[in-house]
Amino acid sequence: MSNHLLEVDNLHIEFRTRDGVAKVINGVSYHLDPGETLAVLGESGSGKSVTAQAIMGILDMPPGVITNGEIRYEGRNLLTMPEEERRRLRGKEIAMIFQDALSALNPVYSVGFQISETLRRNEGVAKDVAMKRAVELMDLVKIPAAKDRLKNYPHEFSGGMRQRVMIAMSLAQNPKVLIADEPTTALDVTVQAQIMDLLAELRRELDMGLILITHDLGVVADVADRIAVMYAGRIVEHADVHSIYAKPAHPYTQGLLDSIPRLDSKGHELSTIKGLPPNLLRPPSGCAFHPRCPMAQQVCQEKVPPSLNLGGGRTSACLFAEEILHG
Amino acid sequence: MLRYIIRRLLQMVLAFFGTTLIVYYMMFQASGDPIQALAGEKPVNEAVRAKLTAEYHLDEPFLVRYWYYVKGLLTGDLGNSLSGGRPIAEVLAERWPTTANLALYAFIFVVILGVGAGVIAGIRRGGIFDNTTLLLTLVVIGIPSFVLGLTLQLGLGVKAGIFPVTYMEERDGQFGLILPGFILGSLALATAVRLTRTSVAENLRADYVRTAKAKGLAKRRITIVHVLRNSLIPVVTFLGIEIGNLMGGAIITEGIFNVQGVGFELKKAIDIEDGPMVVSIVSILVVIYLLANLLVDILYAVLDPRIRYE
Repeated sequence: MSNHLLEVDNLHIEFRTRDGVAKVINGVSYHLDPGETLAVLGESGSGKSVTAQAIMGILDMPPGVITNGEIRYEGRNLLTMPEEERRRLRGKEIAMIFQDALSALNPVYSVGFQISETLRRNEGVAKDVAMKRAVELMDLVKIPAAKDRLKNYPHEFSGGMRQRVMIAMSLAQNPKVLIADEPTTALDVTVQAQIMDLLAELRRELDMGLILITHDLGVVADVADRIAVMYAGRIVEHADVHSIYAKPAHPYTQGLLDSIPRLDSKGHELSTIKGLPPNLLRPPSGCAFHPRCPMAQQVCQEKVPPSLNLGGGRTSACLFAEEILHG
Repeated sequence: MLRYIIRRLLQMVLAFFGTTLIVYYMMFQASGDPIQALAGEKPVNEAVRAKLTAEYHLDEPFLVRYWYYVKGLLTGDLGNSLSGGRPIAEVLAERWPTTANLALYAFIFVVILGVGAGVIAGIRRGGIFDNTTLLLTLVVIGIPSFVLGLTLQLGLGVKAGIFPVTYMEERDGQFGLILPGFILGSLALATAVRLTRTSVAENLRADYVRTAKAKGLAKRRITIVHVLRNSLIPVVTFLGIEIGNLMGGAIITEGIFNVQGVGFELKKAIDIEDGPMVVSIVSILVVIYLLANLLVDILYAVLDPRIRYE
């Protein structure tokens, strides 16, 4: 067993709904070390958020059921840990921020209250000390005039500032891992860049491991060390950021890269991946991507491709990975 | 916050003049002969007509008369009752404490049983408790209050003998108001259960609850501090308006149990066509509703910071 800070190992999750069983996570494995940034990339419904919620232990169960696998933090399996012990890890060891900070923050409490809440409740810090710490945290995430804004409510902040409040709140107990679930999706493009820069800077300064969940390839290029591409509950490609941008090893990654709008392709139609993500209640046979794959062969409908090790920590779940990489 | 309250008070003053103007207009202006309207179908002799014309300033312009009426309302001088000739203010001062006392019991039932059951049902949505209370509230909402009142009067009063069948203040004291209070509050109680349940269930699924879990807060704190505070905002609004409803007297409940409150007096006044009494009660009810609404709006702003700054 290796000694990564956080390790998701062969995770399987089903949603048991009235319409049937949806296998949303089908053997996901990834790991994170201190101070590094892992980007988890994928379309809506690919399972990237569900995996993160399983790590945090905030997955709605039912309907969710974890049928197999382990999630290890500092070598301990979170899934078999007593709930009370696990709760103490939340926020303190592993923290998470969400997409829409307006709905993710409680509308009726001031941001100072919410940022300092875990310090007061879980660490037993006195109120005035906790409030001072809240101001420091707001300074850390570069909220101007932090002291004056302590008593403001979430709706009195702009979108970008609200996301900064969310980040400040997540950092209150100095977590070693921060999971950011589409932190910039609800924001303007210029603000997106500021938030990404902030996250990268904080990760460096605080030496945290950062899991960045996104569907936006453009966002990850500058900040991620490694990228895990998810499709239909599987990691289809995993590689360091330079390799993947230089030469993807899976047709799905290729499709994603081709669909990024570029200045030099002005006037040409945008390239898209044809078709829709699969219905997980009735997934396609073989490789889940084969109905949309431009390279699909007969064999792709029959065989679920295993994760091929391509060397240098790089994997691809495509039967033709070698051909794509070297062809 | 202060500006909000001042603005609401100004709005209330406007609403007060608006509603009392309408009530007053309907009393004296809409009918051809206001004195005849006051007296009902009985003939009015000239002496009484002259006296009433002077008493109600009927020879003066409408707005002047309205001014006298509002002045009387604000200074507590409501004129005299047509039956018995006692000052109306005196009669109402006698009746209202009984109604307020009855309303208090009803309100306690609504808050403790209604909101309490609603919170539990909301947290355990889909469970046995939830389904049972939903069914019960449906039954209560479906049964008219005079049926429920008479049934419980028969069952718990006449047959079981647990509660007094009719209310006599000297004999029964506070105990005699418990059953009438429950019946008066039953509809609001059932509504409170459903409203609270829906609100709690909805807030439990909110994004901020997920955030609170991710922060590592204990479940108990998430429910009490985060979910309840948000869930109770619509409930408090409902309860505030209910205060107005309950304080307005209950013609049916007070009638069934012979509780001599405002509803009792109002029904008597309508029966004997005591115009000034009816108008006085209605005017005071208007003021009570306005105050209840003001209270609701202020509470709403206290509970929900998003309201304060609009």
